[in-house]
Amino acid sequence: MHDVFSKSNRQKNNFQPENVVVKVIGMVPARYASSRMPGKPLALISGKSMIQRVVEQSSQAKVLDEVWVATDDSRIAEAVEHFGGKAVMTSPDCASGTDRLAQAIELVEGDIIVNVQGDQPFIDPLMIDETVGPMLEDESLQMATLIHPIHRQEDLEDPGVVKAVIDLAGNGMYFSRSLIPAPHNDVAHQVYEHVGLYAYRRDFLKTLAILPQTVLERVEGLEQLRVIEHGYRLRCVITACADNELSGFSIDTPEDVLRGEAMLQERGLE
Amino acid sequence: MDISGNKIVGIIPARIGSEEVYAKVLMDLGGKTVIQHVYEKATAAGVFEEVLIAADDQRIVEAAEKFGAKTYLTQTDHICGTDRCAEAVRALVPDADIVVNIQADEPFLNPEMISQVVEPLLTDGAWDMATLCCPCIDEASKEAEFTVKIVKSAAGRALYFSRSVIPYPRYDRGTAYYQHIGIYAYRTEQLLRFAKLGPAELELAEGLEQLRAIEAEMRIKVIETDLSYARISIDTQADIDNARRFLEEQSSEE
Repeated sequence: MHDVFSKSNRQKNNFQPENVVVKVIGMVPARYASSRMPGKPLALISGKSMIQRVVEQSSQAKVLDEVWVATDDSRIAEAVEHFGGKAVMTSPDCASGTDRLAQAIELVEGDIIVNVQGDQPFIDPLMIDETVGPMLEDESLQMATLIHPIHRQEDLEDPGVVKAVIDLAGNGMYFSRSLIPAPHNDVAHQVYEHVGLYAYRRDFLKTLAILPQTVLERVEGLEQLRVIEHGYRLRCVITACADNELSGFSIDTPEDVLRGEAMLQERGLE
Repeated sequence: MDISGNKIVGIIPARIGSEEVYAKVLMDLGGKTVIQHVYEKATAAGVFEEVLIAADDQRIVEAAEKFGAKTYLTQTDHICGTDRCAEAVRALVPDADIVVNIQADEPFLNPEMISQVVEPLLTDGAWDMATLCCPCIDEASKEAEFTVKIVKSAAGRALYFSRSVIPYPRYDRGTAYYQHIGIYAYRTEQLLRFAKLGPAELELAEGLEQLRAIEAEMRIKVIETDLSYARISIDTQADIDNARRFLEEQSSEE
């Protein structure tokens, strides 16, 4: 699809300074401990570990030069290296996924870092390309994420489904568990769900790790609000990924593993 | 011109037909029309070089001229008060530096609020617009669709306005909610830019014109006011009854 995104052509991109190659890496935070499912990243889904699935899916993204797993546990690091992946060790007491990421990039080179969720084994690599795309074209963008249109009525009222409103340039205005926009007038409009896939510029990731927590962030329980409450732009790309049910499927419990396997089977995938 | 050298103009946009009450701004409230109350509050602020009434109907224009207001007859098809303001500014005061949009249906506006809303534009060149809010104290008005809630950044920039409850209280139920007070100050060029943009999707869905400004990345400073005023906006017959009772109570206290 997008030639401008492919690694070989990135150097020719007019928007970047001449002869500067932007290195884009995928970073998958993977903790061993999990209250509902210890050793979750190593759980097998139709015979292949969750972490291997995440790495293999991500590696198909055109924009990524490398995919790394950031983990606090040597069993995960060994498993990753065993299937030919790259792992970097972080401290077991990181306060958040962002902290773990910030720690990991001290050890790994990269100009743009994509935070790939370790519990979404069926991520569509297209989504990674979409997220990074605007940052390759516009150097001033520090961070980007994805949204997709909500089609199911029950998702609108579900506080577990995070809604996003964007401005004309595509920057996130606000994210909420409430229904936004409120459907006050009977006019056609689209409601978007936020998809938690983020790309950051390296320096901004470091900034973000030290920015103090903010009010709205705390009340809604939405970390991305810290970015906009501090006045930074968060570009939101509307994904063209068709199968959001599969690509966004998160595994938190052993029952989720069974559901995930069923989803693969229904789609004739392995 | 004020002390800072800025020409500051107040505009009261008014229309004859509203969904619930026809000619509501011309209804009698203690011997004066609603809009005359608003006009007197606006001039009492002492902020404006001039105050204009921009109305879509000759009857409002005539009524306003009777109490000595400068008026402008606008088109009838504006979708919001801001567009009506912009038309009047373009026609009569294109040299204004700052324009304040004052709601025609808020007869008990506190004139000091006008100084409050103008202030950020006088002191910080980075703001395109300013508006006011107050803490939303009771649960029922927080939930109500007609209460417009504001979320703002750490620097006080409006992030979003909604009729939904924002922020959603997932973890902190004791948090403060801010209720929007519909008074706006604009730099003239931003007001004209606003009108040129035309309505946006979020604006139409929520029925909130201010979302057009945020969608166009305008920087709106939100000031939390501590001024008290009777928040009675005239939308229904019940509102006008309320307002009359309030006026009577006020005069019996005096």
